[in-house]
Parts: sequence; structure tokens; C-alpha cells
Amino acid sequence: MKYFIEYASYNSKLRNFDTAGKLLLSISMLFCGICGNNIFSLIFILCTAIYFTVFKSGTDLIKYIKMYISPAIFIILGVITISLNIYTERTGIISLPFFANKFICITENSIKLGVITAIKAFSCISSMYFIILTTDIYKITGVLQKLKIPYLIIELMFIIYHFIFVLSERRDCIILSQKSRLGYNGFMQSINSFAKAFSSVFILSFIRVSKIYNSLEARCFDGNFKFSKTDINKKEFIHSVIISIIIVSIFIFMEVFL
Amino acid sequence: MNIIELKNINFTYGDKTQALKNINITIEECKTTVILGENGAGKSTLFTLLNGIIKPNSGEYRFNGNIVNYSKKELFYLRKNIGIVFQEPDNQIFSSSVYDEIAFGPRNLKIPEYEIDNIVKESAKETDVTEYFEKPVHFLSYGQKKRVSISSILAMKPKVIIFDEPSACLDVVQKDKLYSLYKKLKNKGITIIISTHDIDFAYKIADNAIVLKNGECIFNGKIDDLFANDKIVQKSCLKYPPVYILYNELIKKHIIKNTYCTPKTIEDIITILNNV
Ligand SMILES: Nc1ncnc2c1ncn2[C@@H]1O[C@H](COP(=O)(O)OP(=O)(O)OP(=O)(O)O)[C@@H](O)[C@H]1O
Ligand SMILES: [Mg+2]
Repeated sequence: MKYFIEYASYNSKLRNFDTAGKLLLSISMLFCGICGNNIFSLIFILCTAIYFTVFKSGTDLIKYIKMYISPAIFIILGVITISLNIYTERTGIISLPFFANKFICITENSIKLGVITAIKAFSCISSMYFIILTTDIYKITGVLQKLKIPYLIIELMFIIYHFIFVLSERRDCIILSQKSRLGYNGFMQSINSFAKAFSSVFILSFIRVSKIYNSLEARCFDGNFKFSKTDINKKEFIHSVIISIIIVSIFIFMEVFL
Repeated sequence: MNIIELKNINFTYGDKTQALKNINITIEECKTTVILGENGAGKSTLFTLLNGIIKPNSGEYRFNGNIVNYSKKELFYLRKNIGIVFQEPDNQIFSSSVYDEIAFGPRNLKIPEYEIDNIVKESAKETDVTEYFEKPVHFLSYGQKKRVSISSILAMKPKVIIFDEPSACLDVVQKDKLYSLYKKLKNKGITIIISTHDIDFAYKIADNAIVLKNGECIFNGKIDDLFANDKIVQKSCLKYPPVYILYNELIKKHIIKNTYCTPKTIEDIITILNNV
């Protein structure tokens, strides 16, 4: 699961498809997801994104679904908070007494709002997953640079991406080394080992970062990362412009008429 | 000509480990120098000092005859001319693709993008990493990473290249390739500095040797002189290269005569034996 994003984008059938095109597609779906207020149109966006990622790009379905688990937890918690409201009288479908004459109520409207918010969140996430799971990170940074996106944002994205790997690699190494020396036998032992691993992940990562910085400096680093610019394939780009227009028009149609 | 000169250099780490003690070293231009010494002798520390990453607490560092004064401009000049392949490739590689990693140095040197493409391909060829261009770097094996890190320095075309244990973890074929790469670089007039624990390899490629022990320099001179000096070899816990032992044994037994060009490899000895 750890390298799933990397494996998926490396094996994706859309890997060599024009990056700017994919980015446009993904951003227009994201935009629709953010603006949409109609359950059907949002489901349409969600399905389209899943269709492109799973069927067109050939991502492993099970692992793809697993990727939704962690955001799903937060979204469900969010939905619950949205659906619950506190009133001074009993209203709505369900109402439970709270303290001091107040009631926790779930109304039809609040449920509807919660569901829409959840689907909205999922459709936005799925359109972002589409670009992540089909494209190598360096190509994305390349296109963003070509599109004159502020340098700071690209750099931030790159650094976050890189250091997620630094941290997770360190963690894996340490846990492996502890396991190989029987560090996870029994409950107390496991807790002890885990705590040690946790603290050393951070210390080691800091040291590693400073060493990496040394190596950057040794190669005349002046504080600005320079990324490869990705070329735009005109034909494929136009192809995806057309697809994006179709998706957006269907979306608008559904928003207005459904 | 001496390209690098260190005079009375001292360096102490933050935890009061004195890693370099009163170092006096000269490194000749266009020659290959090996730095030998036990673990923790201070080899890697010396290298980061040569690249200007750490600043000595006291002493004088001359590059190309000029004193390095650690101004920003000077450091850029220093780093442009001295490339360093670090011991741990993991601490060096950070880009998301092999191509970007190799292009990192040249881009910092402000070389135009159309030239960079050629440079990257050329230097990737030297260490056989062209096939990994598109591969995310986290998937590479240790030896592959090592080779990528070597390429990424070659791409900067420095005058001096420092290799910190380059042959560790390379397979036999790649080690031989590395050996021919050194020869090629040397013919181009590049000064090579290598630290290694592989005494055979060192003996084979080096002209000069520097021996460090506990942060002190105990030898600086021709590698043949080093092995002629029993005391230093013993003091520094070095071993004689088998080729050297064999050659001396053959001379002692009067099987071959003392030639003035000492053989560096088994093949050399075989050639000498064939001529007897
Ligand atoms: N960042 C640091 N902080 C404190 N001490 C350090 C640091 N880095 C190295 N040292 C110490 O400095 C000394 C020299 O270390 P150095 O890494 O230069 O050795 P080395 O000759 O490269 O060894 P090896 O053959 O194992 O690579 C060692 O005693 C080491 O413990
Ligand atoms: Mg070292």
C-alpha cells in the first residue's frame, strides 16, 4: 500500500498521455465538484473520475477503494456534525434530549446537506486521485511550472511529497530492524519499541534532511529548485479539452434541469 | 601543480569530536589520490570540508593557489569545480525522477536547458543508468542509486571529483566499469580523490595516497612509497595488497627482476612472468 501511488502512476495506461490534458480534466472535474449542489450531478462527477482512474488507467480497484478509507473517516465525522443540530424544541426526524431543555435533532434538511457535502467531498477527492494515480509527480511539477503557477506552490508540493517518503522510509527501516530483533514480541514490548521508533523517526529524519541539504549545497544549490518543464502534446491536449467540455456541459445540464 | 592545499586545518563537530587535527595535505592536479584510513578516521569529514560545506575552525585552505575565504561567490566557484559523490546515495538523491536528479547540478550552474538534455544523457551513459530515467528514485536498488549519484556529479563537469567509497556495494561488472570511468576521467585531466577500504582497488588506480588516523594525517605521498614504508602501513592498520605481496615474493625468490614500473594488477604480473 505504501508505494501504491507510485506504482499506480508508473503502471498507468494513461502515464504517457499529455500531462497538461490530464491536469485540465482533473481540475475541471474538481471545479464542478466544488460548485455542484445537486446530488445527481455530483454523483456523475464522482463516477466519471472513477471511470477514468479505474477503467481507463487500469488502477487496481481494491487498492483504489482502500485509498478512500482514510478520507472517508473524516468525511463521515464531518457529515455527522453537519446533520446534528441543537434546538430548544423537538423537531425533525429524530430528536434526543440534551441538557437544559435543549434537544439534539436530525432534520430532513440537515441530512440532505450532510449527504451532499459527503458526495461533494468524495467527488473532489476522486478527481484529485485521478491526476495523482495516473501521472508521475515530476511531470505535474513540470506542467505547473509551464502554466506559470507561483513557484512557491510547486516547491511546497515537491518538498512535501519528498519528505513524506523520507519519513515513511525511515519508519519502515526502523520498524523492520526492530522486528528482526524481536522488538514486537508481546504487548508491552511492542509499545516500547513503537515509542522508540516514533521518536527516532523524527531525529533521523532531521539528520537526513540536513545531510540532503549538504548534498544540495555541494551541487551549487541557490535556494530555487529547477524542475524539468514538461512538453505539451497538442493533439492529446485538444482531445482532453473536448472531453472536459463535454463533462462540464453534462454537469451544468444536470445542475440546471435535475 | 597542487590544486588543493590544506595547512594546519582543525575541525571539531558540535559534540566536541575533533574529527580533523592539524591536517597538512597537498593534492596534485590531474592525479588520482586515495584517502585511506579506518572507520571514523575523518575521511568523509575531510571531503565535506574540501567542498566548503563545513568551515575549518582554524587553518588555511587553498584551492588552485587561492585562499578560500568562504564568501558566497567563492563557494559557488569552489563547488562548481569540486564535485563530491557522497558515501550514502540516500543522502544525496532527492528528486522524483532519475533524470531530474542528474539535471539538478547543471541547472544550478545555469546551463541552458537544450544543452542539459545532452549532458544528462551523456553522463547517464557513463554509469549505465539511462534505462532508469523515468523510474521514481525510491525504487532503485542501492547500487543503482550509487550510480545515479555518480552520474549526477559527472553532469556538472567539475575539475576535481571526490568519490566517497564509490566501489562499496557495486557488483563486479559495475566495479570494472567504474575503473574504466576513472581512467577516462583521468585522461581528460580531471583530478580524482577517492576514499576507499578496498585496498586492491586503491592500489590499482591511485598515484598518490593520503592516510588518516584518528583525524590526523600520517602519510601524504606516492602510493608506492606508502607500501615501501612498513611502519606507516602497520600504524594505520592497513594491509598490503595481494599483488604487491606477490610481486615482492617473486623478486625475493629471484623469479623476476625488479622492474622500475611496479605491477598494479594480477594481469600485469602475468605479463611480466610471460616475458621471463
Ligand atoms: N555530524 C557529526 N557530529 C558529530 N560527530 C561526527 C559527525 N559526523 C562524524 N562525526 C565523527 O567524526 C569522526 C570522523 O567521521 P567521518 O565520517 O569523517 O569518518 P570516515 O573516515 O568517513 O569513516 P568511514 O570509513 O566509516 O566512512 C568520527 O569519529 C565520527 O564519529
Ligand atoms: Mg565516511
